[in-house]
Amino acid sequence: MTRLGALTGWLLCLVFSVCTAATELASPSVLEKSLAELSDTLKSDFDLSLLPELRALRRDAQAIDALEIVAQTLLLEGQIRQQYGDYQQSLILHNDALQLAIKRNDLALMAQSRLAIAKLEMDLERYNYAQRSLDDVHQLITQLNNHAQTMPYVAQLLLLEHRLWQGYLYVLLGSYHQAVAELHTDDLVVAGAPELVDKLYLVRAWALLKLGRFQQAQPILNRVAQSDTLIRNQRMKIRFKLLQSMAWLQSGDFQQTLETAMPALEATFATRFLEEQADLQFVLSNAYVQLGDYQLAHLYLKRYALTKDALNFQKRNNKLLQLESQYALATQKQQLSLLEKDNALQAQEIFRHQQILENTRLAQQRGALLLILALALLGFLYWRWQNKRYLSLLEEQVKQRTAELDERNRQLQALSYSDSLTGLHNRHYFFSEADKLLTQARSASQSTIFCLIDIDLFKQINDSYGHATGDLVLQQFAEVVTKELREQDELVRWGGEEFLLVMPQTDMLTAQQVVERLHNAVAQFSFCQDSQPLSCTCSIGFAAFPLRLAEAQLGSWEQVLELADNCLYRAKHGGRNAWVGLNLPAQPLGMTLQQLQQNLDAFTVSSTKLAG
Amino acid sequence: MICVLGRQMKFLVLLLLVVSQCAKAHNPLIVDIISSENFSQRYQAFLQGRSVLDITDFRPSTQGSHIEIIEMVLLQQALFLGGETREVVFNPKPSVNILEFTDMIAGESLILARTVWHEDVINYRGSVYVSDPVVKFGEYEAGIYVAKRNQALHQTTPDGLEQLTLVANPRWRVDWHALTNSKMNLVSFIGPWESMLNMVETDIVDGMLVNFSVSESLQLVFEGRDYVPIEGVKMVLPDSRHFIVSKRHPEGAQIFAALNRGLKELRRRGVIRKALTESGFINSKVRDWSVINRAMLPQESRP
Repeated sequence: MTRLGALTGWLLCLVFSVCTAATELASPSVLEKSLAELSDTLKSDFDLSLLPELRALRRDAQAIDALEIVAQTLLLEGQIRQQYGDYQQSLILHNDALQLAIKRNDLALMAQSRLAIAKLEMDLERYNYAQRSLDDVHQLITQLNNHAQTMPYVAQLLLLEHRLWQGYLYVLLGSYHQAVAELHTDDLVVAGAPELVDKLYLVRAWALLKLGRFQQAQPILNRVAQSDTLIRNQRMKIRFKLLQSMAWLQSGDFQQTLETAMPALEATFATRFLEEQADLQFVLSNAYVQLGDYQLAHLYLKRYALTKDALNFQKRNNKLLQLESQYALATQKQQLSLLEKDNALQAQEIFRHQQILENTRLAQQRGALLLILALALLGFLYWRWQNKRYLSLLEEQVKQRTAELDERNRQLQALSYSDSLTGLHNRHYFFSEADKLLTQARSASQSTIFCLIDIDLFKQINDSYGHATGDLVLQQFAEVVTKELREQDELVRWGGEEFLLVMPQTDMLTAQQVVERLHNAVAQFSFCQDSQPLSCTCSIGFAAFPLRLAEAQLGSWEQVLELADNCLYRAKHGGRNAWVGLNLPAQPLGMTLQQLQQNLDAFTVSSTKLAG
Repeated sequence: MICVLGRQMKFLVLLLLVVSQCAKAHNPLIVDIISSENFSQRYQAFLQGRSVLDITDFRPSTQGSHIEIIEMVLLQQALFLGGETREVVFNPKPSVNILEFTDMIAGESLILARTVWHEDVINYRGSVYVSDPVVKFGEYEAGIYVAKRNQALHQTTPDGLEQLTLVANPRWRVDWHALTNSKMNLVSFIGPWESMLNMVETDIVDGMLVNFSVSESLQLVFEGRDYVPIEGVKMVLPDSRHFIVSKRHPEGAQIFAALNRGLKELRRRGVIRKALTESGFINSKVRDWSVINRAMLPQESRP
C-alpha cells in the first residue's frame, strides 16, 4: 500500500512537471487530477471497485493520446492484479507500460516499469529475474543522472525506491547483512516521499530482526511509529505491527508481542495481506509457546500453517500456470526449431541436388571435351598414320616404278644392244662395249681377232623365198655359227646379212681354225628344213688387233675392222664361200694403214690359198 | 595486568576443581544431546582415555564429520573455565525435541551439547540465552562437491558455475540462503542426505554443497564412491553457531554466565580457533579459494 501510494505521489509530480505543455488542454489536467485521486484512494486499500474507474481513465487518456497517464494506469492496474494474484496479466500490464516508456524514450517511466516488474518477480520468487530488473533500473538511474534535463529530485526518488527494493530482495534471499548495508538514506536528500523512506526503514528493521538484532531494530521502529504514513497506509500499518511484535518477541516481552500482533492479525482478515497474516500467526504461536500456553500456541501454529499453505497454494498455482505457459512456449519453440531444422534439411537437400546436377553438367562438359580431344587426337594419329602409309605406299610405288624403270631401262638397253631377230648383240652394243673389250685385249698377251662374216647371195634368198625365209636363214645362221664358237667369243649382228665375230685372246692360227670350222659348218648346214632345204655359204674376212703400224703407231679397232672388211671384200671378190685373213708378222710393219691396204695381199691368208 | 589476572584465574580454577570434586557425585550437570548422532562411541573414540579438560589436540581420530565431538569438548572446557566444575552427563534425546526447543523454552532442558544456527533461535531469544558464537559468521565454509568421475566439472570456472545445477534442502535454511545468493541453478529436495549424494552420482544434478572433507585431498568418500570439491571456489554458510541455555531453567542464568565466560576465555586463548582448524572444520587447504557468495558477508569481514 505504502509502495503504491508513494509511487503514485511522485508520479503525479512527474506528470505535472513533464507535461506542462499539456496544461493548456483541459482534458489532460482533468485526467491527472482523477489519477491522483484514484491513487490516493488506492493507497489505503487495494479496492477492486476502483478498477472500472481506472480503466475509464485509461480510455480517456488514450483518446487524447496522453501516453504517460496511460502508462501510469497500466502500472496501477498491474499492481492491483499482482495483489490479487493475477501475476500473468500483471506482468503483461507492466510490460505494456514499459513499452510505452520505451516508445516515449522516457527513462524515468522505464525505471518505474522495471521496478514494478522486479516487484512482481519477487512475488513469484523469481529472484534472478528480479535482480536483473533491478540492475536495469540502476543503469537507467545512472543514465538519468547523466541526462541534463532530468530533475535531480526524480533521480533521487528512483534511487531511493531502487534501494528499497534491492534491500527487500536481499532480505528475501536471506542476505541480511547485505540488506542492512543497502537500506539507508544517509546520502539521499528526499523531502517529498515520507512513505518511501518509512517503507525503507521498515525493511531495514526487518533485516535487523532477521539477524536477531532487535535492539537495533527498535529505534527504527520507534521512528516509523511517529510517522503519519501508518495512519493512511493499511498495509504499512500491519507490517509495522508485525515487525514490532517480532521485536517484542525477540526481546522476550511476550505480552507486548500478543498485544501488538493480535489487532494487526485481525486487521488482515479483511485484506489480502496473507504474507503478513501468516507471519503474525507465527509470531503469536511463538509468543504463546514461550508463555507456556501450548493450546493457543498450537492453534496459531495451525492457523499459520493454513495461511502459509494457502499462500504457497496460490504461488504454486501461479507458478504452475507460468510453467505451463513456459512449457507451451518451449514446445512451440521446439516445433518451430524442428520445422526450421526440417527446412534447413530440405534446403540442404535441394542444394545437394543442385550441386549434383552442376557436377554432372561439369562432368558431362569435361567428358565431351575429353571425347573431342580424344577424337581429335585419334583423327590426328589416323591422319599421321594414313599419311605415313600413303608416303610409304608412294615410296613403295616410287621404288617399284624405279625398279620397273630400271627394268625397262635394262630391257631397253638390252633391246637397244640386241638384235631382235637373231637374239645376238647388235652393232650399237659393240660400239658401246668395244673400248672395254679392247682395253682387256691390249693388256692381254694374245691378240683379239675381228672377224666379219657375210652370208653369200642373201639378196637372192630374200628375193627368191621372201623375207620371212630370209629372216629364218639369218636366225639359223646365227645359231649355227654360235654353236661353233668358244665361250669367250662374241658374235654381233653387224647389219643386214653381215655379222661380226670378236675372238679375244686368239692367235691367227687358232682364228684360222675357228673360221674354217664355222665356214664349213655353215656350208654343210641345211637351212629352212621344214619347207625347202636351202644351202647357204658365207664369206669371212678377219684381222687381228692390236695392229702395229709404222713408227710404233698402233692402229685403232676401227682400222682393224676396216682391214677385216677389206679381207671380206677379197673373199667375196675371190668367188665367195671363202675366208680371207690378214696375217701380219709379229714385228712392227713399218708402214702406214694406206700402205698396208695397198699391199694387203702380201699379208693375207685365205681358205683358197690353203686349199690350193 | 594480564599476568596477574592469569594467576588469579589459575587459582580460581584450582579452587573450583576442588569444590567440584566434592559436589560431583551428588549433582551432575545434565546436557541434552541428539540421540541419533551416535555420539557416545565417537566421543569416547576421540578422547582415547584422555580427560576432556586436558584436550589440546583436536586433530580427528575418527572418520567423518567431527564438529559435534569438538563442540562437546569445547562446551565442557568452557563451562569448566567459566566456573562450572560439575561433572557433565550427556542425556540423549530425539532430535525433534531438541530442534523444536520446546523443552528448552519450558525450562525442562538446561543446555544443548550442540551449537545451533542463530537464525533458528532468534524467535526464542526471550526464552533462551544465546552464547557468544563458537563458529562466527563467515567461518563456516563448504565446497561444491561433484562426482569424482565427472572430470569436466572439477575445474569449473566462476562463469561456468552459472551452468551448474545443485541439489539443496530448503529446510537447511542457511545452506539454502547461501545457494540462492549464487547464480547456480537449484533443485530443491527434502529428504535424506544420502539420496542427495545419489542424485549427484546419477547425474540428476551436478553437485551439492558439502562441508570440506578433512582428508588430505578434500575428497569425500561415501559408500565407495568418491566426490571432490570444485577447485578454487567455496561458499560461506551465512550464519553463526551458538550454544543455547534455557532461561526458564533454575540453573539457566548461572550456567549461561559460566558458559559464556568460558567461551570468551577459550576464544581469547585461541582454543576455539585451534579446535576448529585442527578438526578440519576451518580448512586451511581452501584458505585462498574465492568465496562465491562473499557479498553476503558483513562488509567489515569481507576478505
